[in-house]
Amino acid sequence: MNQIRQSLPLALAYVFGALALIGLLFVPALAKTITGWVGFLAVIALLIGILNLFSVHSRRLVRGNIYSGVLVVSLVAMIGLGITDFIELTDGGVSAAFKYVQAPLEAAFASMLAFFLLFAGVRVIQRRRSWWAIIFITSLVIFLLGRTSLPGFLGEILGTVSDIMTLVFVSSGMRGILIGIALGAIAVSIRVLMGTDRPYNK
Amino acid sequence: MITVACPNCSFENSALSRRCTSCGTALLIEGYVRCDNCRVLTPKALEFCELCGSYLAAAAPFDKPLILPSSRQDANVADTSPLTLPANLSTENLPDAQEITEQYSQSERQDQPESSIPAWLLDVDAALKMRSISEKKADETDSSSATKSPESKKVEPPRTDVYDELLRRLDTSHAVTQPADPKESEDWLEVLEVDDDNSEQGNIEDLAFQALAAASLAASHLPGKEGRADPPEDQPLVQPRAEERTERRQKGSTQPLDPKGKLLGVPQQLAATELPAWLSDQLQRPDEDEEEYFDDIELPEPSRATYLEPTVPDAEQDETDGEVIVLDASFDKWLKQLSDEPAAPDWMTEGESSPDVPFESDSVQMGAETPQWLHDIHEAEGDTALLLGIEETVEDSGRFAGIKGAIQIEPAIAASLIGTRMVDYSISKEQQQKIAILESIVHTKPVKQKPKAVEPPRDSSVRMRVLLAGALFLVFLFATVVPSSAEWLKDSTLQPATKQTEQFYDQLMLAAGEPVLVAFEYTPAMAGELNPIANVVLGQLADNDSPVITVSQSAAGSEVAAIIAEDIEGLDLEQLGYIPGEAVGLRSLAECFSDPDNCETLFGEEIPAELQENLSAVSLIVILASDSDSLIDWIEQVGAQVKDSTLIAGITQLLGPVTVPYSASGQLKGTVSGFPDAIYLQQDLLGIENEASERVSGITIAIWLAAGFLIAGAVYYAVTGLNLPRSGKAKDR
Repeated sequence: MNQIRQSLPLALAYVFGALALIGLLFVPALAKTITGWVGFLAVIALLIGILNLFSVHSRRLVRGNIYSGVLVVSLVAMIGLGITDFIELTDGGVSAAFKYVQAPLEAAFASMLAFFLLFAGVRVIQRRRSWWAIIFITSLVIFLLGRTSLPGFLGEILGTVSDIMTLVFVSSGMRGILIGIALGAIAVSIRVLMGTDRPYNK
Repeated sequence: MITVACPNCSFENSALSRRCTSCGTALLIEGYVRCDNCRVLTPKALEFCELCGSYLAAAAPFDKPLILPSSRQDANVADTSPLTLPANLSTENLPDAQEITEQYSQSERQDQPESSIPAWLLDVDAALKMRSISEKKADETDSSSATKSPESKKVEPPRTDVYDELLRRLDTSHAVTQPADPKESEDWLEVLEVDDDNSEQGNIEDLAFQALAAASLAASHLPGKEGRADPPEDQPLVQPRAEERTERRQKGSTQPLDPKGKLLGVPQQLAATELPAWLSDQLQRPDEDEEEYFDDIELPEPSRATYLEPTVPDAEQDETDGEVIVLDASFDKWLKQLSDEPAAPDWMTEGESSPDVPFESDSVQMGAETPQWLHDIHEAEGDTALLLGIEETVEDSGRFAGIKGAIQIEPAIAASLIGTRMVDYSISKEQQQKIAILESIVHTKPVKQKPKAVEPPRDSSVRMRVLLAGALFLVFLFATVVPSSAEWLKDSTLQPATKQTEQFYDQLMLAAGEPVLVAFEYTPAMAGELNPIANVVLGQLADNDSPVITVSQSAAGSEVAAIIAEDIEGLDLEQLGYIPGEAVGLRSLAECFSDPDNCETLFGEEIPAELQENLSAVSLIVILASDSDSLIDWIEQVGAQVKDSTLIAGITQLLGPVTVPYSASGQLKGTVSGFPDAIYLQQDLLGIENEASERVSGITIAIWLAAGFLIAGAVYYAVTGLNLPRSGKAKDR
């Protein structure tokens, strides 16, 4: 039984991976069918994730976790607004909740990120006194001031330096990273098809 | 390791060795004595061994090197040489056992009651008497034949056959006619009781005399002793013993062997007939002072001549406690064992075979009792003592008169018995302190000490955070609340448009009137930076009368699009909604662009015909993204399949470097990065003035301030941290 439990996912992954690869290369209809299944399964996975989240935080709410209670109440409220919007009991309830609750909260949390990043940048030299820290701070200042307009020749110099750094160093670095990501994706795909990596067994 | 060099061969020996490992020479160091316990050389000045703490007084004898003669065969041992029977004594002329018994009964039972002596002892006495008669005959024969042949005086070899035959007859007759009766032994033992008056003081004397008696009895039955040849006449100490013995034989004396009146009832034949010369000499000195008398007695050491000692049964040894000598029925067996004792060694036999060789030691006055090899040892000791500078005195009196280096009994024994008082062991102050510390550690109960509450150091980072937050808040407040104050900065803060921004504008204008797909790949968290771009794009698309189809890979993106679209008038908006599956979902969407006829449903949802038509006619795809994954998925999955559509991106400044490779490769036709590009696009390219244009001054001042803080912090910590470790690697690890 254990052997079947281990070998069945491997067999499914190998078969459907090979079919998808063959479909993408030679049979587009087959590839479209399989990708359609993937989208359907992704929705099911999202639904399962929502139910799991509700179940976990419901148990925590029973144990007295107030934050889980907020999450459960918010989830139930949004689902309820979606149902009322669907049955036309309410009009734009979900959009209103998103617009007046979620959007401001997320924006507020994101704005705090500016303070943390700035403070971390200020204390970089204190925490790590190395040449790399100095280069990091220098490039950061150049990019910040180079993306804004400074009066006089200083703005021109910083803008030119910022463009050079972006086109030379940053672009070359990003190309290397992207090529690495592509090669890594190919390697991971082959390993999954070969059964070496089994993310579905985790 | 301490080593001692051999004085003879210079071989380095261990300090524990008594003799040289190489040549055997005794190892001695002047001024040192060897511990009797651990054998370690210790200075003589010390009374106790440095290693084991043993008392060193008893180690004195070890100062004397013990050197044995090279060959014991050269030793002249007259006393221990085997004795021989008379030459004319043979088994034919031996008397019969019955005859011996009757003869003995007639002559001896007149003085002692018959019932008091056991039969087997009578047999022994009879045998001895028979031997004396035989010796008389032999002497007469010798005297008659002396004139005839001088060669007959030569010593004959031991006649053990005669002696064995005699004992055999005795045993046979006794076994037949006189069976052993324990009662006889008990009656007889009553005669041997010691006087109670002298029991306490005379215990040692009794023991000594009883031992002497037993030794004489044993010596009388040594093999070949009956035929012992008389020593030469130049040995005065030996000769009188033989004469005395001859007189006793002639007298037929039956006086009990009781020189001091302590031993009663033992016939003379059992006690002193064949005593050694030295022992007989001791027994014949009752008139000397008792203390001197016993001091001079030296019993032979069993380790040197064990073959001379009779094997005494255990029962007899146990009972010889100074009061009673138990002679039970096993005594005759013991006698038989004595007869079976092996003969003396060859080197002693050789000494016996040449009795004419004079005793060379003129200094030794112990007569035949001191063997030659022992004399050699004394001489070797004397030579070694001379080499080592040890003075040895020559004894001028006593039994060891004339011997060098004799061990003084009194200092060696009395000193060790008396001993000296041990030196008081003094404890130093340091040792007392250590003891006190040890006791305090052992006996003190551990006290749980509560850790002192350490006040946490004031975190300067908190003040720094507050300071930074206050400064940034004031800047934003200044730029937002008082926008007029930033008017003078308006011209100087606007960044000139980049090439990518202009290309973005161009592509946006080229898609006028054609369906445009706008992907909202950001959440409200990044809405502050991307909403201005979205507003500009959707407003321009509305102005261009381009149908807009919104889509998103996140659930929040669709809502963001809906919120933004609400504020734009005249926008032809179609919401495709949420696309699950990320890259796979985008690939499925791209297939609808390339093959609209097979795109009636998307992810199980039916697509309206109008929307399906617009999808097939999309000429521009605008990607509004805040994360690189979503942007890359759109470029790689959709842009690679949709050849007829153009991709442009409105992104945050953070993703600007990510789009550079795609822009360089032509996969992205134009990009707008961040709020400054959006303001430039809005103001300079589109000519739109709104709230975003008024905020640019405040954002620019905030950026300047942030850069200033970074520079100040770097300089401050670089200066104040000079004494700190250069790198925080150790701390981070």
